[in-house]
Amino acid sequence: MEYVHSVWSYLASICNCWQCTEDPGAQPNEPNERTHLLVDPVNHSPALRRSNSDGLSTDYAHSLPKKDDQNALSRLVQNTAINMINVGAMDCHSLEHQEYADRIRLYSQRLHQQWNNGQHASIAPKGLLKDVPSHQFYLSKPTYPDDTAQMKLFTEKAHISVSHIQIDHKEAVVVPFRIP
Amino acid sequence: MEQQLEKVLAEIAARQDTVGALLANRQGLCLGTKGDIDPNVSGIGMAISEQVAKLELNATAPATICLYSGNKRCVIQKDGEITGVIFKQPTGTSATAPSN
Repeated sequence: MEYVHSVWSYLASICNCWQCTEDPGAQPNEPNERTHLLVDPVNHSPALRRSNSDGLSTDYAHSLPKKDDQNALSRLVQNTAINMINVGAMDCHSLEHQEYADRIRLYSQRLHQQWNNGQHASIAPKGLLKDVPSHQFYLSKPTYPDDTAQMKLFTEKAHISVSHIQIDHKEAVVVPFRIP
Repeated sequence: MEQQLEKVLAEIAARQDTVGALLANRQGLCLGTKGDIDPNVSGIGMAISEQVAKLELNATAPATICLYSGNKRCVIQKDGEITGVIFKQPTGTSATAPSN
């Protein structure tokens, strides 16, 4: 029984070694989510590099992955520089005059392009009142002679008819109270 | 009592291009209406005619006020103690052409 258990543990260790050999093979082919962008940052620090005697061999061993990391990093930095206007880095004192002028021209072109792409509002109507028609249209309106004649006839007849209004009393205005 | 007044209003409103006629007293109260006209217009018409009369204090003839709104017009005249208001709208068939 003890002999069988030792054989089983030996087989398990062989399988573990096989899995270990599988991982390093996958890394150089294509980077995945577990790929480190910086190779051994501790070993690359200046303090340890001076004291470490075999640093040169370490650089030779990691030459290929280092290139891939540098390419990815440079591509990322380039994309960021192209797409973003870094306002924090715009220090007038530290920038040279030529670079400052170049940046002004570049940013003006970008803003102008964005402004042209946007939808502009239509030209707003002038003046405060928008629903009042032109006054010239109504100033040219004539006075109709028929209106004047009709109104004159109306007022004349109205005077006569109003003067003929008479009040017909139908009931007594004063009614005696019934005092028992 | 006001049969004769109603007869005059009916006569004025009987014309084809007249929408309504109204008569107001000196306080702006409505004496009578005929046609499609609101009795509450009497006070407004009287006030308008009083204000217009102040433009020319020495005028002998009463002023005839004509208000335009689209194709409708409102004629107001205050003569003595009576104010007359007539609403007019030209009809399609018998619209009278303006003659200067």
